[in-house]
Amino acid sequence: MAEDKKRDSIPIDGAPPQSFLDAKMALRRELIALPFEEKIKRVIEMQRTMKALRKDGDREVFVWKI
Amino acid sequence: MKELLTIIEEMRRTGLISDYALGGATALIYYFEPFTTVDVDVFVVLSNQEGTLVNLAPIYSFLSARGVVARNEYVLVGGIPVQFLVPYNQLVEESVKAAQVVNFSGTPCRIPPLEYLMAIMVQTGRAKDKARLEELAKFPGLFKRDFLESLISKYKLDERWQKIRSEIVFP
Repeated sequence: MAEDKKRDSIPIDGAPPQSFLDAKMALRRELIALPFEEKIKRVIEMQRTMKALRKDGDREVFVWKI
Repeated sequence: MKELLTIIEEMRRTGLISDYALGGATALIYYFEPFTTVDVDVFVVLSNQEGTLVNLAPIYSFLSARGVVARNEYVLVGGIPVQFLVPYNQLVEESVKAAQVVNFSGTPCRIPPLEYLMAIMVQTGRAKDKARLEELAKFPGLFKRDFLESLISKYKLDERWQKIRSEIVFP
């Protein structure tokens, strides 16, 4: 029981594990290395998501075309 | 995006503008990771500009003739909100002159070197500029530190830069 609790617990204070930080930086480096056109496609995906989440009164969200 | 770049190239080819470069977030995304942004800033150097009063009317006439419509502070080109701006100081002017031509899906696109974009962020100094500078600092291989500092010195931004560095993590 105590072991389960330990395994399932999520630390809410202190620094995240180094493995998480390393994986995050590796992912960011991959994104940085993408060709410009691919990056703009990712921007457009984010805009689509924002538009889908938009509520009345929110700022207008423009979805670019590639 | 390709439609926008094609129209800008046409402006250049027909002599309406003598030079241009993308600026702001879109130019930064070329070097950095993708992030959300609303519009595309395009700095244009107008041909045949006389006097000190800048007149963007020829740009808007050109766009209007191609069916481009205005929406608030933007013009919508191929669904993209765009702001056409003139270089508003010497640093921005130099950044446009220093822009490199890159390829976007077979269409040329001019983007200033990253160090210029960073120097402009220092000069502008908005909260989002500081946040972007701090994120860029995590990837020091992306920019030439000496060149950035030479621009900061050349445009007398040292004091502003020191203040920003006291507010963010920029080793």
